[in-house]
Amino acid sequence: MESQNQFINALKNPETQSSAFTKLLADYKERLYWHIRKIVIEHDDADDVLQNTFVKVFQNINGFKGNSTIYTWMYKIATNEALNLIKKKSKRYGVSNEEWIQTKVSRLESDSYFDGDELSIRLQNAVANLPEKQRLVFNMKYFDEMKYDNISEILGTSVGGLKASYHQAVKKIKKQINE
Amino acid sequence: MSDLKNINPFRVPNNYFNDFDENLKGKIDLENHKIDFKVPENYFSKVEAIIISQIHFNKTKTVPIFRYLLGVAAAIMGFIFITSDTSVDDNTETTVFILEDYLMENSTYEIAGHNADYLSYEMINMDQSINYEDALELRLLSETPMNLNLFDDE
Repeated sequence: MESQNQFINALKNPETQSSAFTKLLADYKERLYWHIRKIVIEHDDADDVLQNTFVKVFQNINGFKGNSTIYTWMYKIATNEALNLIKKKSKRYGVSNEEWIQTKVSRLESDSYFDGDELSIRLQNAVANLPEKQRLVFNMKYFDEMKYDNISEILGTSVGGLKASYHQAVKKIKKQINE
Repeated sequence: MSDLKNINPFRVPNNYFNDFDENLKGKIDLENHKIDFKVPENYFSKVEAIIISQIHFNKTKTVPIFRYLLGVAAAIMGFIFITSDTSVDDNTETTVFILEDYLMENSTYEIAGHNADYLSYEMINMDQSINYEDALELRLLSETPMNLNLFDDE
């Protein structure tokens, strides 16, 4: 915790923030990218969201009080940025958020930045059909192997609620995959 | 015959049930499927430089409240001025579209941070439009209480 505080102070201090921010980027860009990518599906969208996330982290670092880890705080920003992008784009094209994601997943087969097999596409389809909250919980728990406590901080949902969501998500996915 | 009822003639491979969960999980495994998504070559080394170029170190961007209010007021006045004009011609219509898109794409903080030339730039690059009611609704959606607490780590 002490080392985190020192790092946060370095990010806030104009003298040291450049090098501290470079370290932050090096440490977290890939983890955040993959988290974002699983929400928005396409690389270009993930790239936009990743950049916005780090810019917002930088712009708002002075408001970070250190009550959570910087990692969960950044995850929270990345999650909201990703969901906002989906909202904006689906609104622009006159479809629901779910339809937007399902369209993206349906194009995975021809996506040059995706090389999953048929089972993998079925898994992504099943995940895309989940309600938004269950989709987020499933991605964080199953793919990112995050602890419920951390997911709870990021999504602002109780651990009990998350466990129920995950259980429901797994049930639906298994059912869809086995169909 | 009644004894036969208790004999199961069918067999499974050794440890089949112990290994079943692992085998199933292996089919849709995290590592296997995380790498299904690809990124362009050297993406992660390039993106660092792109992000750094968007940030002005030693000059944290803070928008004073009066500047924020001034920006919002200017956007509203401009919008009223354009929409209240009864002789709507093509140019005005285009301008309205640009404003709609501008309102949709930028947060109020970003609007407050833009200078007067920004919209001229937007006019040149304008390629899509959206109904202004949708734009305003979207603004409201994107500034829900959840998002207003976005940077609150409590």
